[in-house]
Amino acid sequence: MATATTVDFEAVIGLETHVQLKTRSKMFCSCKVEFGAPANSLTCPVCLGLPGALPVVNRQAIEFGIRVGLALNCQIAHSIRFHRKNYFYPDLPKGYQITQHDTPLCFDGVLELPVRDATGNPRVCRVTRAHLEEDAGKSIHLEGGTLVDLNRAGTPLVEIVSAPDLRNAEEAHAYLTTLKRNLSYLGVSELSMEKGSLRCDANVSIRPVGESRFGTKVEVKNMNSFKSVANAINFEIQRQKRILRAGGTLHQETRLWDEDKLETRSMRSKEEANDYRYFPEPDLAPFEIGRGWIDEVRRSLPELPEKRLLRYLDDFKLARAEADYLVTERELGDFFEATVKLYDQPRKIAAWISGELTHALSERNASLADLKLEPARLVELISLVEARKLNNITAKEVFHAMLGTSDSPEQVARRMGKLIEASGAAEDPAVAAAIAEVIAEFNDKAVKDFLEGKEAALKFLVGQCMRKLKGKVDPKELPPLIEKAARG
Amino acid sequence: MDEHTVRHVAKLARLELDEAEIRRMAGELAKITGYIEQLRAVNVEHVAPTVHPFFDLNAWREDVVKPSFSRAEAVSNAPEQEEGFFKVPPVIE
Repeated sequence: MATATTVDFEAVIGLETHVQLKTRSKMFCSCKVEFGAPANSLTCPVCLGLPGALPVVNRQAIEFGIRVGLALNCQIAHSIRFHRKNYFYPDLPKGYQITQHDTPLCFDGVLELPVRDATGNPRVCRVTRAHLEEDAGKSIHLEGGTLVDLNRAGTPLVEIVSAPDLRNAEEAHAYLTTLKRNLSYLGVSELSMEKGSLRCDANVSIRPVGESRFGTKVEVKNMNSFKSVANAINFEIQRQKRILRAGGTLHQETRLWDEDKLETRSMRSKEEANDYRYFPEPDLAPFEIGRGWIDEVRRSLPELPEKRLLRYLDDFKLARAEADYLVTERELGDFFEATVKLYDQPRKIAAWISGELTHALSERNASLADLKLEPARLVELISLVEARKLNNITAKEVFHAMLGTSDSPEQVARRMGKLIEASGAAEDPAVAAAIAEVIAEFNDKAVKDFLEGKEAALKFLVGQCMRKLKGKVDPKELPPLIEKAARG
Repeated sequence: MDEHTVRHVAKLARLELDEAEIRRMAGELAKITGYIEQLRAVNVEHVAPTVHPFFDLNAWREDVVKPSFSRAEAVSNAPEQEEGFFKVPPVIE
């Protein structure tokens, strides 16, 4: 019989993700939705919770919510209503949050994850529900008091609740990247964890392998990136295992992730345990979501990444990893397709995007828009390589140098002195000098081998010349010149 | 409705009650919940729940921005403010 110290545990993880919708106005009032405006400059009687003020639902928020649901393969409810969730906190002026309880706008969705199970099938995570609610304000905790800014209060949110289908941090990370990828196609949210328009809490529990009941659940909050969500989950799983193996017991609680110490700690709150006393919001009548409206929204959706991926594999014959990467963000795929339209070499273009472009994006921590790269300029750059005015190495240098500018690749290449001008290597005295030097240096061995017809020796000599010329010449032009000089 | 429940509800509502008040409230609230129990006995099996007194379906608005309060107006009723923020006692110790 296994004792507590030898039991193998498995983790059970569910994620709650909040997505801010980028409507123009708030969920229940006409105040502007804007990040970073002066404190309390975007408030009114409704979002301040002044007595007698009445909420009116923003139709666009419902429509954005439907888009989110469809992108997560959810069912859309035909009839919805709102509930009050009661709790006291300074950033919640009404003393309750208007949310949805028994009739979520979206339910029964599913996401296929880019992770395989032991039998090689893709792992799947169900999306239990996605419902509409309002955001709270922002608190700044200072020494002698807390400052409250209510600009964010009333911003529309979709809360997306996954089923407890995830089993480790890697799967949780994959779920989040897939969720973000799908939503990024919709144009309904900035999806920035940095700016708080995407937030994620994790419910983590463990149980002995083979057990079907859930263990005691801990909610972990305060993660500021997908990576910290994964780190927090890993930490929490280890912490829970340690406690159970030592014969201890776990408490259902909320813990905060500390990004500096890389640990979770108990949130000792004065708040009463979750007792939200939900009841139907009397200030809002129910809503009927007609079949026609849902169909209309469905028709207005762009091609979603799951479908786009298949098309890239079939139509463009891309490698799976390349296609996967190109659909991670709508902008990347759009850029790819716009470039392919100008120049019908999908694999070559995909290689540029997944290679140098991605390198530039991560190095500069920039978006595609920041780089100011138009498809036509990438095509022009590739054409320079085809015309042998740049080689593969100098083309990459020119690529990085032209980003963020509006100069053409040819202008940039010329300015950098990398452009192989039409006059060609044959007339270039620098080339002749380099070849002469290389032949003198390797006269005994490589040149002799070459004259005896050894292919590898020629490659070596070309390489040596390229090094001296710092890549400023098309290597394909060199062999005849080397041969001429060698035979002297 | 026992005294324990009264204490719990009072805490949720941020009400400070002394022992005499708790005893009194337990009695009064028991009468109210007793009345609700009486209503519960009515057979409503074939009646749809009414959560709203009228059926004004789809009373939404279009996504249009209208002017907000000025910053000064927004915090003008606050007992305490600091640089345009509402100021409240420390939340985190």
